[in-house]
Amino acid sequence: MLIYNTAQLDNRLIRQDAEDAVDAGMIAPETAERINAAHPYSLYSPNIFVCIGLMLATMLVVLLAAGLIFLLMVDGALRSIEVFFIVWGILAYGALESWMATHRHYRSGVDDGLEWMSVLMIGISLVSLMENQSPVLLFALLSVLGSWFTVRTSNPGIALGTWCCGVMLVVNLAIWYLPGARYALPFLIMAVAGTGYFQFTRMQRQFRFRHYELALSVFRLAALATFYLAGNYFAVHHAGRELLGMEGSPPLPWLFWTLSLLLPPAYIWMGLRKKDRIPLAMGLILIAAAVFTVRAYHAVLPLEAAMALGGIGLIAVSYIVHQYLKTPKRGFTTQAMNTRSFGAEQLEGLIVAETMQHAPQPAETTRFGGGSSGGGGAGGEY
Amino acid sequence: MRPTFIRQLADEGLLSQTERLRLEAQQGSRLFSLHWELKTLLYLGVLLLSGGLGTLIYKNIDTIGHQAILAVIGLLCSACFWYANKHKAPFTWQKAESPNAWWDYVVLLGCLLFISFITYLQGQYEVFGYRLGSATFIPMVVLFVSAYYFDHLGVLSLAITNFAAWLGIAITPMHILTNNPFGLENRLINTALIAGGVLTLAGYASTHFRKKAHFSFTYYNFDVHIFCIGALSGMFFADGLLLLYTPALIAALMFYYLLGIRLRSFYFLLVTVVYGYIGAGYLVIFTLVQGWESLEMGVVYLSILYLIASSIFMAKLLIHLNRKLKSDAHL
Repeated sequence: MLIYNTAQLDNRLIRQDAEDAVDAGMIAPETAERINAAHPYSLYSPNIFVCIGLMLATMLVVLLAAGLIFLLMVDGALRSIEVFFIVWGILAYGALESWMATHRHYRSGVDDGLEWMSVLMIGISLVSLMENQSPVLLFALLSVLGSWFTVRTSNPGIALGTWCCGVMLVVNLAIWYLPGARYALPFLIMAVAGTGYFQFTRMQRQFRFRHYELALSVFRLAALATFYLAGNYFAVHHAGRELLGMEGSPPLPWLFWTLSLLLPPAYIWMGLRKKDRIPLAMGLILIAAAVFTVRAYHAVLPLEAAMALGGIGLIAVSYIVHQYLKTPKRGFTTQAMNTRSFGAEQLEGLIVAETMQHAPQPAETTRFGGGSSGGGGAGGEY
Repeated sequence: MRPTFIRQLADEGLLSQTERLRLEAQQGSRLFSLHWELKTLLYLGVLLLSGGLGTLIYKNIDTIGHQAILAVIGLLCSACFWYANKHKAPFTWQKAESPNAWWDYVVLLGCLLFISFITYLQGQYEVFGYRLGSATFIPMVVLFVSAYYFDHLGVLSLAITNFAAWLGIAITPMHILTNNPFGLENRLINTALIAGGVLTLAGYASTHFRKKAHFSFTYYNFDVHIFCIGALSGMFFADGLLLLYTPALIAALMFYYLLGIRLRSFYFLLVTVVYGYIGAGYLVIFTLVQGWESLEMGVVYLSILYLIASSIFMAKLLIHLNRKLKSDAHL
């Protein structure tokens, strides 16, 4: 189903697994060398920087080529600009298929660029073509388009877009065709997301979906987030008002409040129990969502006091866990594992510099006309 | 390793029996690392605490006693530094391993609190007078000293952005283009070039004298962007100075190209290629636009054709450079 050479992708996975096994001291380095020799990997997948460069270049070429033709036939193209871009999207897809048939690339940037150009040009044209027509048809078409691209390329970004279109399709189907949608909608979405989550989890464990690992992880994260949002008081309240024209607070407020507050810890618990990073990460993110939900209705504390207390709380939790796990317990450790990532420390430094700037900007430096403030530092306002 | 692969490799005779058994036994008993989760929690905690305390001070400056606030911040800050100092590895000019992620963030928090402390002193009591830039100069010095003393890349990055702020420009990734009105003030362009030059020297000195050589990447990384963006802005905005800023850009690109080759860091090669592409594209289109009288719409077509051809060339160049470095992905 993939446009890539799956035998080569298998070799890639075997080599990665062997490398991990060497790092973990499970097999001898010589064994890994023999495995590498027996399983050659010859697809072109350069490092991330080349990949970004090639992706930019590819997108630029497609856009500029479309722009050039557009200029040459400006009268005709203006009259049916959507069709013009759909044709170019299909051309880009054709280019992708023929490129993959003749070149041995995998995630080289060229394929990513062509995928994105194709799916975006077709998708955006469809949206503007069907602006005033049935949203059900629009989301159905977008879901089909996204699913096709996901199956062919297993691109995680496109997978995320596909999930969103699928959820919107369910929402619109319910609004248009389901009597009593206003009461059933949250539960319907929760049912879809829950089923989706367990389905994707099962698929991820199966060997035959090994090349969709990343896309499936994205699907699972998205399903967990959708499940939470469908039960979140704030989301239900606002979606009810915007989509269904419901007045006042939603029915069964106690249920939605319980879900808003209890789901994130439940996800974290699930993640820790199953040693599964995906519910764990989603649970941590959703803690913030739960805090915002509470703050949207009840301002318990002024923001800055809440921030300071929250900060102390987070630091305390982290300290306790670090102390508890000084020696690994119950299969958990705080040591970094599989740190073959490039320059994670450098990246961390950049993020710190970006978000924690305390550079105060006193009056005398403003005459330089520049400088920066941000991050909400103590001195930022002086 | 996936069970299917273990079986396949064993069948192919690539795994010995013991290795196979060991790998199969490993399946159930994997250690699960909470490293990045805890690190993120700590990062958010420090971000929230320092931001919250800062705002708290700012809003309540008239109601809480100044001494009380100063005392609390001072205490917290000394506690952080005391803890950090107690658990730090002995000082060395080489790379010192940090004890753990927790320690890293204690250092960071201590530095941030110290800056709040200084800023507060300055804002309330004007301890350091009104000498030019003193309010940014002192935090900068503290940050640089802490970065070297504790061997902390995050603090070093903060120090570098503070250094640029002291000169009057913003060089953090998100603010480098939005917060610097390069088009309005030519002086900023020159400031950017000077800041870039100084940071290059610092990076070069780090490796040359082997004093915290692993810091050099951070210096170079901030520098290459601020210098190239400064030079490009000079080409775009400073009327009639094209001949001055173009050589500056070319010199920087040459330097970083050679640096990238020497460090085997593809990142710098990519950055050079991208800035070079922007600069060259500007020069070509600028020249074409000069011929608008005779060419008219031809200018637009020629520009687009140039851009298409040069993008393909850029792609080929990147692939070629990548082969040259044999797919090194480290920074």
